Amino acid sequence: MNAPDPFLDELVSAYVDGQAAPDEIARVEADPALIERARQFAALATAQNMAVPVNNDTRQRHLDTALAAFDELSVTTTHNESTSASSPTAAATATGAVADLSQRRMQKLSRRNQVLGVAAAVALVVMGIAGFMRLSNNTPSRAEFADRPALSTSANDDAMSDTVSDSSTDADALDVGRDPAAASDGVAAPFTVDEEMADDEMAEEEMADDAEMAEEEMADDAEMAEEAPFSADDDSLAAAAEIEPSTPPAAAPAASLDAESDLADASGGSAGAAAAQTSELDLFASADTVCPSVVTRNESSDLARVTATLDCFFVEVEAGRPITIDFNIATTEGDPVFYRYAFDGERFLVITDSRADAFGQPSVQAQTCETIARGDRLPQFTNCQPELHPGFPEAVRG
Amino acid sequence: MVIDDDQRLVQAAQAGDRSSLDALLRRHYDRISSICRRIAGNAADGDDATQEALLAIVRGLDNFDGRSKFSTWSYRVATNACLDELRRRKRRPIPASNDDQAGWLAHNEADDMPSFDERLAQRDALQRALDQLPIEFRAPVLLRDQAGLDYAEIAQTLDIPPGTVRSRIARGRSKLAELVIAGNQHMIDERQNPLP
Repeated sequence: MNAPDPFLDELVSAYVDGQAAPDEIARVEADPALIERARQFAALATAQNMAVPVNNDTRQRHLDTALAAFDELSVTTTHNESTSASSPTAAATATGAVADLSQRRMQKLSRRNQVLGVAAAVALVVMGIAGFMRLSNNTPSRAEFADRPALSTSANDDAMSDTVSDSSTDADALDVGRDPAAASDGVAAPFTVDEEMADDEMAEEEMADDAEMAEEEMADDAEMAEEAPFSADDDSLAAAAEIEPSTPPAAAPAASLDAESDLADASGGSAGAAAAQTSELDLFASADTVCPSVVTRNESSDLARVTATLDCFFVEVEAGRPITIDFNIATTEGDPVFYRYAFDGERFLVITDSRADAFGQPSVQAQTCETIARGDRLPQFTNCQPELHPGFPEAVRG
Repeated sequence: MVIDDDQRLVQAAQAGDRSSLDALLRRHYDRISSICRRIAGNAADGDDATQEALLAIVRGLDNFDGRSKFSTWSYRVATNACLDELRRRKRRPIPASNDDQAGWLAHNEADDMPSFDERLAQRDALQRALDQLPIEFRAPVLLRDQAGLDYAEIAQTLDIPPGTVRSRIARGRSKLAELVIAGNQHMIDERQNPLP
């Protein structure tokens, strides 16, 4: 092959990389010149793969500098954590992690309860005043008013009567009314003529909080949406396609909340897959609730839920605790492909069921594996054997 | 049952364990250094690029979420850091030194017609050829042959379509083979017909 043909070189190059199509492979292997060219390309690859000699001093200097940068970052991170400890959102932003909003939701709920309490107090007072006005119009004596039954039998009545009798206009009372501790302790906030204004302020504050939380959640959603929806057709399931890191795993509880409904209303896929899907869910909806099973629907939230379950799974595996997780991963056409990863404390049972995939190669594969690594999206198992494992009844399906 | 050691080291390093980071970087240093050295085209720039690559890995470690292998991720980070370093310097690769060529000539005096493999096996023959390979071909070839990334990963690293990756790798290899042969022949010619 004296004058390399660019087209043939591309074919040969793909052949060397194992990326050639069957007809391309046949063409290369039928031509001794192309085989020789492939051998040259392979030799080039081998030569490149030989490490360039490195001076030990240079290596140590590079590593020392990198570790010094790590130390510096650690100090900075520690400082940031200490200064933003009261702000989980700020901390999450600094680390690139998804903010845990549960604490804020609890605070918000507590504040909302306060507001509702105050609103109820206001309503009661208004009713009380209206009643008083009506009574006044009927010109009852003060003694008669005092003898009338209470306007309400609620638990707030005592506080209300105290509050009305106090009728304080002291601005400090607003602060007391906002004190979550006071509310949680069942101490009614004194009502003042400024309370409505305070209520408005709190409502505004709550709206601002709602807007802030919505923004954060939208930002999280947008961040997840930037990732390609998780799909069983994705190359990464087979091996590699990588997502540039930045989307941190969602909190496990969120995934667990979704899991039941996911399993309950899993839908989609080709018509031929529907029946199979229903029956497979019986087999592939793990009763193990430690790490929730996940059904994906080619939505932006898929990846976060899968990641959350995998995070949970790896925690259990590292702790040596038996665990089973199931995934029902939608192909791009929407057909379900089922994955079960069961760990018995020593080995993994890995089952892949693609029989409901109308667009793929329908098969059920079961294998036991000894090692696991966090792969691209789904884990990668090695040291596997296709033999059936008597400890896992599902393996008979293989 | 064994969980990937890299993963364990990464998790520990992310949690602030300095010794785990040290072990992780040492484990991958030679490969990262080789990639940077070959991309940069000369030892001096290669060393600087390696340092930048290690710093980029340290700074980005918190963002590594374990969905890919650490090796894959680190080679990608290193490649981008090296390419950035090259762009920053806007410097062309420095050709191999005269000393290198003299050494090669001394080694080849008795062999005027070496085979491809023999030419390739000569000291610095590959590096000399890589130095002359345009960066748009050199980077994908190195990412494939040295870093072991697949076409999709290379496409993602270099932000080019997978089809372009395939053609650039092919053209790069073709050119590389040509340079290995021509480069050696050029030196043989120089030896036989020295300039005044």
